[in-house]
Amino acid sequence: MITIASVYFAVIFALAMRSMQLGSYDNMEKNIVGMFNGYIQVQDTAYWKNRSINHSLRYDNSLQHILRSDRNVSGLVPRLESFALASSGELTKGVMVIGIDPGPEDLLTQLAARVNQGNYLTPTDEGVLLGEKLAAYLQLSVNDTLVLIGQGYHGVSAAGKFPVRGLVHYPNPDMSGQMVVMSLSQAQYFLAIEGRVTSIVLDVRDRAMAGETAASLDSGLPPGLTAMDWKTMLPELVQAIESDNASGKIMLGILYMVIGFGILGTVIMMTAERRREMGVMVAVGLQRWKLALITALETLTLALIGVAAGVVTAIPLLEYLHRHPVPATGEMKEMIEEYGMEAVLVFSRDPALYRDQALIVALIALTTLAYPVVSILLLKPIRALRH
Amino acid sequence: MNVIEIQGLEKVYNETVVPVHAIRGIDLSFEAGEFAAIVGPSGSGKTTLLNIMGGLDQPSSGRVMIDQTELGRLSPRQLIRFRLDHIGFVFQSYNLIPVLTARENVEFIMQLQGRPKQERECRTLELLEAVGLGERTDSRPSRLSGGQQQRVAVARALASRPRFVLADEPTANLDSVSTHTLLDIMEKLNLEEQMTFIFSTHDVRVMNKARRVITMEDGKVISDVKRSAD
Ligand SMILES: Nc1ncnc2c1ncn2[C@@H]1O[C@H](COP(=O)(O)OP(=O)(O)OP(=O)(O)O)[C@@H](O)[C@H]1O
Ligand SMILES: [Mg+2]
Repeated sequence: MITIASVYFAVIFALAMRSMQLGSYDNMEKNIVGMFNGYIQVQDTAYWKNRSINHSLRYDNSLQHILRSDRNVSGLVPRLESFALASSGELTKGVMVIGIDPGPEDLLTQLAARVNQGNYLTPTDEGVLLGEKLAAYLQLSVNDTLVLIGQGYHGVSAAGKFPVRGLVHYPNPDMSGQMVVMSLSQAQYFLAIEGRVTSIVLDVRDRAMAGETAASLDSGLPPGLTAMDWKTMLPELVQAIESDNASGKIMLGILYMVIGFGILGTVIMMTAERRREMGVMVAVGLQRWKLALITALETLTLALIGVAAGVVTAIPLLEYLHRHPVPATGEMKEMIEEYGMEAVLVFSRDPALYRDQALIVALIALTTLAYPVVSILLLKPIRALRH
Repeated sequence: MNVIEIQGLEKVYNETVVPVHAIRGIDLSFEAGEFAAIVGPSGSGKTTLLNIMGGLDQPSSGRVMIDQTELGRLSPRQLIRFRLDHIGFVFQSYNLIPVLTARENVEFIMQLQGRPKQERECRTLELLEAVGLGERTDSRPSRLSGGQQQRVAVARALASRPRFVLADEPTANLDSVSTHTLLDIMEKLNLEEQMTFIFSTHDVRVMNKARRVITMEDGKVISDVKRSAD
């Protein structure tokens, strides 16, 4: 019974811990990569180092055709990004202006859902969306007018007045404080850069294949253009996830050790409790190997019951935590916020997670069987029979 | 012909700092059908002798022959099998497997021997009735009194149809009524089934039931008295 309980809790703990780890990496990746950066971007080769609209590219039918011909590419999300000075009355602030194609952009980043006040943009909209913090700073609300001053293509000066259509909630405070979103056509008009974009984000079907897709696209692109996957674009993120995963695995390792000793403890107790009984059985004629086998099977059955019960309990638990992310605290909170996301712990419910953790705990339980087996094989009935 | 023959038996326990010479030269033999008590003060070597006779412990020198088989020549595995088929054991306490019922505790031994189910069930019931527990066959040991548990142990010891039963202080933890009942049952089985019983005891009343009393002191047999059955 105690063995079942120890295995049961072991499985739940291991699952919860790993689920949290994997869930937060996945969430980080999805948020940063999926929500903004995209898994693959096509840019002018010079743009990555020098983010100027002078290194923009022509977004024409032949390029779209090349990109769409890859089977892993499910959508094209063009963007035109630049910097400008925003003002409203006495207040001014440096901002990031981003022109988007509202339809595809929403498919990739669910931007429309983050518009808290006002409306989302239409494809030829002449208005803008503002990050909530930026709007607060400039004391602007929906239907007010924003003034933007900047530099257009090849140095022409750009200036314009734009009605505020809506306010966008960005979990990342930096983005919230500097984003000005407008329709691609409006941005091209504002920056005097007809038909060009600074990058094309590719929506992919299989994000695990992003690297391969980027490489194969890259070789087929016209000279001067490049396709990069998110791992190339965001090496710090990859590194952060990897190093966190490494320390996560160490924590997990420690948990496994605690689990292992916990189970071993109950197995030792159980063996000690039954020593006398086992002594009687060997004395009256039960072969040691048979007794060892029976005990091992018995313990294994208990362990498997524990694993099964643990998994069954963990499924609704993790499902619940997956849907209702837990607010993060302390270091974890800081780390998540640094990446511009809401500081919540999202739990994974990947089936592979259950398989791996259940298997590992079962293996740990299996290893602890060595103790009763060896002690039975070495059992001396007369010793066991003395008190 | 003798069931058990012990020659030149010596036992020294070496595990302790000072070696203990627990048995100092014993020659003994038992015939089929005996009802023998081994008595003597505490530490005189009764348990040690019974353990060696039962193949649970090895002598330092000398030998134990049971039905022409010398125990010392058997491998550990053969020895376990030999105990199963030839020797019944009743220990002082905690004889039974707690998770099994009285019936299962008795039947278990025959299962190990690979006896057919029919035979096992018949003999189990027969034995439990013989020890007066025909009504309690499905009770777990924890639901039985100490005396009843010892009676189940006696039934179990006989289940394998051994050549003899060794019982080390089987009544030590029992009150006088239970002691009496147990002894009567053992005596009855001794007479009815011709089963050889060898038991150790401190209890004079138990000793008086025996038809042969072997007295030990300091690892030696100091007297060996046979009485004819009344
Ligand atoms: N495993 C052992 N290691 C060392 N010495 C032992 C061991 N078992 C028994 N002895 C010693 O051997 C001697 C004989 O012990 P034994 O248990 O055979 O006596 P006994 O007649 O059964 O005593 P009691 O009536 O108290 O049960 C004692 O001195 C005892 O201390
Ligand atoms: Mg003793």
